[in-house]
Amino acid sequence: MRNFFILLIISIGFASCDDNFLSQTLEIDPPPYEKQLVLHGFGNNLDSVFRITLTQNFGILETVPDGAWVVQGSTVELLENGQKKANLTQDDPGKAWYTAPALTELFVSGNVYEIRASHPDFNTVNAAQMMPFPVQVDSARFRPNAGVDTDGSKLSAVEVFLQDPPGIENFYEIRIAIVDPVLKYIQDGNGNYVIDTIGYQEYLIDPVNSEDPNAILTYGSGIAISDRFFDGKAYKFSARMYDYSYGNHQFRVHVRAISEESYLWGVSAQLKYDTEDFPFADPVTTYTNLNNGIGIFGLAHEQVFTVQ
Amino acid sequence: MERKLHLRQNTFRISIPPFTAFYAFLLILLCHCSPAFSQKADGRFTISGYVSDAAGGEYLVGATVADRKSGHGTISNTYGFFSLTLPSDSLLLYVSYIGYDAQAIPLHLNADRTLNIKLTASAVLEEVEIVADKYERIEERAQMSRIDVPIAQIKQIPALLGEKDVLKALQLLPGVSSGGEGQSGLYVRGGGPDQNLILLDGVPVYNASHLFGFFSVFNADAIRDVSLTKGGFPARYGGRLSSVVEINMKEGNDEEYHGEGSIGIVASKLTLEGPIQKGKSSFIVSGRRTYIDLLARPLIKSGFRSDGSEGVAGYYFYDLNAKVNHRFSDKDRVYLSFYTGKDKFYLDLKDRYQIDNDAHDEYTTQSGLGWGNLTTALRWNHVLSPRLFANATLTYSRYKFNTSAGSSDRRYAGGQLTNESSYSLDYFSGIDDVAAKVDFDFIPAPRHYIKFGSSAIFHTFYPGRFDTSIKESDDNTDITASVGQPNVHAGELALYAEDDWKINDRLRINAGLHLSGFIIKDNPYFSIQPRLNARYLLSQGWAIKGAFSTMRQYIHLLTNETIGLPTDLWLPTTAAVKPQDSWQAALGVAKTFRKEYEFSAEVYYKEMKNVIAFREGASLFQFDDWQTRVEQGDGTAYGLELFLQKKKGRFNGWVGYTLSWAWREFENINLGRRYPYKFDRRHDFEVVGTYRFNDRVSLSATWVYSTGNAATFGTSKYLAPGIYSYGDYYYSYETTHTAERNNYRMRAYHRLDVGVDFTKKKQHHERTWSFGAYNAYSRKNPFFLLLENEYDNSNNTRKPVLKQISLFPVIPYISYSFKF
Repeated sequence: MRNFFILLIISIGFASCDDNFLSQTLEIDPPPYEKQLVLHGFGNNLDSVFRITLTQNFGILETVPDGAWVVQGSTVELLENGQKKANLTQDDPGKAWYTAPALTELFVSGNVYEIRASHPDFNTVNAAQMMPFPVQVDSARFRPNAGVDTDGSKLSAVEVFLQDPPGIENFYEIRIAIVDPVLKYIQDGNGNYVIDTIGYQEYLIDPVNSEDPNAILTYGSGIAISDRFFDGKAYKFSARMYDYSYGNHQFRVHVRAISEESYLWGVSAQLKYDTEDFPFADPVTTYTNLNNGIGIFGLAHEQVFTVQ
Repeated sequence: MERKLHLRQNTFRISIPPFTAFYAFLLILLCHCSPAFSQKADGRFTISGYVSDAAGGEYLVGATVADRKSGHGTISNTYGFFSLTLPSDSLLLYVSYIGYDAQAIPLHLNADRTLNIKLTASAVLEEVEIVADKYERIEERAQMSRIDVPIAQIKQIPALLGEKDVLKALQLLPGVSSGGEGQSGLYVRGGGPDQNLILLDGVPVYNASHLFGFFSVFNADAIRDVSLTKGGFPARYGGRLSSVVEINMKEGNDEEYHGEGSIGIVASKLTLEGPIQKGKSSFIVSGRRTYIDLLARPLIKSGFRSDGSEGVAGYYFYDLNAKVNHRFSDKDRVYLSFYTGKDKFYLDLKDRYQIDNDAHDEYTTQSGLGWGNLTTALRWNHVLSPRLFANATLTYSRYKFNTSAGSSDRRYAGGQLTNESSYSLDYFSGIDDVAAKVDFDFIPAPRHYIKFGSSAIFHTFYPGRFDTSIKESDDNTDITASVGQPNVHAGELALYAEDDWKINDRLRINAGLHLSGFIIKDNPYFSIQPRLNARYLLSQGWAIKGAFSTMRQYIHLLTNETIGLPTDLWLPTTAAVKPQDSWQAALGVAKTFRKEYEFSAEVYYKEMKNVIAFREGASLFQFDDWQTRVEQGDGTAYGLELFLQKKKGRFNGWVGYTLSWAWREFENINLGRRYPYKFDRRHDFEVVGTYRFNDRVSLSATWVYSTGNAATFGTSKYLAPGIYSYGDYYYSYETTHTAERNNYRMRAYHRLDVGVDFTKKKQHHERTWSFGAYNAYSRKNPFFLLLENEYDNSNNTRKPVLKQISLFPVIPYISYSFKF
């Protein structure tokens, strides 16, 4: 009996020396997935032209040839309160852009808009939402000294004083752009470069955080908050950014009343972007408001303020 | 008297948070109990005393003491104490305990009697045949969802690298899941890893794992008994939602000196025990240390040398258990127990760079990572009266994690130190508990077993602090700074009372109430937790059981759920982070077949509130305020557990099966939708068996099967708009679409472990050679999944592949152990 066990252990020992037997890596099949249209479209009250991108998804192990993301020959339409408002046509074959003809009053607060895209090889995707109403903004200002971040770096802030209407849950987003002059040069008759025109260019600044811990960073250099904690009250929405107390900068503050869908997508997309390559981060679920598809159709009512 | 006590309990229930009232009640009870409880006015007398092992004096827990004539009986408590009150009569007492020869003691009861009973271990365990009540059968107990595993059985189970492991043995029970391959974490009935109260001699152990969870901190040689309660919690337990693991250390032989030890692949152990004063006091000391660092040191040194450096690096862990006890009289016994254990990684490097003939630089680098527990308990057992037993305990528990990194640069010229600079960074986190506890066992009549008591814990949380130091002799720089979150103090109080009441021959209940309170920074929290276990005996030995319990937990664990990292951080309930609550109901049947097979089947349903989880995208490796990184939400778990156990005999072991579901729901995770918990396992099956061929050879094997862990995985990829320009296709980037949390199932887990022991009795000792293999058929069990791009030489392209990484192939082991 004892010899048998010794033999058994020795056999196991030898078996364990075999490379394949010991190999601890195994190629496995990817999770199943459904082929879907991917649509990203963002509209606001300042738009006269509405554009979306329409692509398709692939399996995580598939190699995607150049240009294969684009879906050719789709039908895309925009509806307003259930009535067709515009057809969106593909800008160029091979491009993902689909554009609606220029319209005045493209998105009107309180109206319900729906985007619908169909293609013979895919399920039709659609998403609908109401265009948000504007929020009453009393004032906006720049505050040069707004504390420090966790590393001790100095922060500045933009503060927006707004009046939240009571009742339904509202979502607000701030984006801050710094306005820098852009110089254009031309050559004079002697071949020297001289300033011809001075233009201005907006550059979005990444906010760091807010005084309000309930505010959260959103995709596209935004910071957003739900009015759940200040429903129907006056509220100071602050967005802190790294130090801009030096110099004499001009900022454009985009104050946006956004739909819940835009808020959820903006939060999830930002988290995903920030953590995708960090294996220890808790996973982020991708928000989509498209039925049968992936992506977002998001609407916002935007007001722009200049502060210094 | 019985009636009086009930009146007291009723009053207590009505006036709820009055901790003071409860203390007043205790005071009155203590002042009056000694004389009052031993009154013989009703013609009844009490036999009380201790049941212990004849050879070593070790008290026997759960031994049955029963009068054959009347059929009344009781069992010994955690300290071996029993009390049985019966009418004056001639009795035939049977005292029995599993693995021991029963004793029949005839006596005439006409006065209170003290009876200290010593049982002798059965010479041949499997042939012990004792009439009637051998021990309290599973169908007799009111309590359900509790499993006791004999330590001897645990020591027979084959283990990773031969290190017998108490917590890993518990993972083989129904309703309990392990975290991942090789991990010692416990996930009980859909609960989280922070929801288990692991008590070593009554003291909570906050981090029960060594080496990233591959080994637990409990040295099986120093352990006397282990029990797991996963539902139907009696009122004496509190503070965690999902389970109570009670591990009690041996007390030490008070008659003779003995020792045991082992030499294994990764660690060696040595345990010594013996009398300090024969028959009165004893000690036990047990130590374990790994020695890979010592064995590998020459290799590591030569490796550094070949790189032109001098240095050492390594890892080790150790445990040290010690306990002394002294019996001052038949009524008083004092215990002092101690445990400390530590893991340590270290790296010390020294490099020398010659600048010119006269000058050189010396660089030194030191870094380390250490974590460990320290627990101490001072316990006083006092028999206040034959019917009232008291246990007062003072405890201290500490878990500490620290990491350090530092370097220095010294320049020498002409043999003189001309310049020096140094840098160091230390991080420290942990928790400290100082606690006082008093527990009473009051046994007024055979039909009642009343337990009541209270505890107070003073917690100190160390949520993490960095200390840094920079020194430069060039410009006399000397900077020291500390960054981190301040220490937090909190108080936790608990009161309980429960009665195990045999209402009639068929119906028995254990009903109780647990009150708890938590005070932190002037924020008080209180909780009232009713508990009920009931058993009804059916015909043919079947019992139907039901249980309901509510639990509250005031402390939370920020942890990585995949691997047992020492960075686990215990944190308190705060104004922003609420305490966790749960309620659980269970229903089941139990029966003992052929006097040795215990069978139970239970269905359970558990709801949890305010369970904690990281927010989406958050991780342990962030150093901002922890409260901003967590979410609180709900959990639900339900399932069926089947368990068949044979505790003794030539062949012993168990078979367990669990069919279960575990869900989580958080407002801001998975877009507010309910999702399966990471350790949701539909099927869990385990077989554990040991067969003793004779006194010299025994074979053991375990086989486990479980549904794969849930994991979150992107199912497809797509182009997302670029971050600075919405909708601009040209700035788009490729990302994965993750529609649901935990949307993917890893492959099923199964594993066979086998072991064989060859034991031989020598003149002065007994030795055992153990051989075995963990994962005997080298199943590639999933540890984690990896998506990576593999280069394809044939067409010069990269191809994405999905890989499952496993941890352990077959791992053979060998160990030598001895006893004297």
